[in-house]
Amino acid sequence: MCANAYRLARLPEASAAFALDAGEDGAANVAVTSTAGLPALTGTLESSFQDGAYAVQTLKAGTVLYRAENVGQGIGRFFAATKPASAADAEKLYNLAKWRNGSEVVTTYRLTSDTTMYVGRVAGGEGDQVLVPTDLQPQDLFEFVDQERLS
Amino acid sequence: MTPDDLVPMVRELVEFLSETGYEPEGRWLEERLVVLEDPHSSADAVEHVRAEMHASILGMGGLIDLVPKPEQGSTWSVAEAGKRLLVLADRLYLLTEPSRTD
Repeated sequence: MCANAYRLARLPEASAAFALDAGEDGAANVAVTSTAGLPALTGTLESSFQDGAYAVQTLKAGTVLYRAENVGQGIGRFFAATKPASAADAEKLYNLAKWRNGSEVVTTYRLTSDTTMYVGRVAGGEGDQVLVPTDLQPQDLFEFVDQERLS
Repeated sequence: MTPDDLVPMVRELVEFLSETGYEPEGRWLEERLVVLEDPHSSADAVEHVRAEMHASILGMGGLIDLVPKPEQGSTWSVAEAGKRLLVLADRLYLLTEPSRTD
């Protein structure tokens, strides 16, 4: 697990709320919840979250997120909060089996500026995901950290 | 919007994907379009293709995960292409819902 890994945890006292917590390595908490607003999600974006439930949070620069993908697939709009340990784990967490998509590798990205995003449980999966708002371009927000092959 | 809209809608999506840097995804859809357009395709084959399309849309790795990259000189701006992708994805999702029948 990457030393800067952060994972999402449901806040039991607040329905449909999520928080990004520091990993067990004790690194500083670089993610904070926020009341900053974003437009409500509709259609397929909303349906990508379990029961359409998500929270809006401002993630701080330095937050590390992941994408399970095929080699050469490139950055997308959805990111994983937890680093999958294997291809099977990635599928279980993030419900990836779609058209040509797969999970040959896990790519680690670091957020380069504080950014407000949508956070919630993956529809049909057991993991939590982060969605970049549609008016932002993910390639402008994240820097590539590394890529590892998944078995 | 009716189920009959599915074929022209998928055609439009294939064209859009090829114009915005996602030819492989467009080809994947085009292969399934052949099944939808073939009058000899069985009901099971058509239903299978619709289910595949429906499952290709949401979340990481799905259609709406794509970040359109219009070529220089394209009629699409990056922002407009992003909005158009979502419109097309929403339509495809509705048109391929399991409850729908042709």
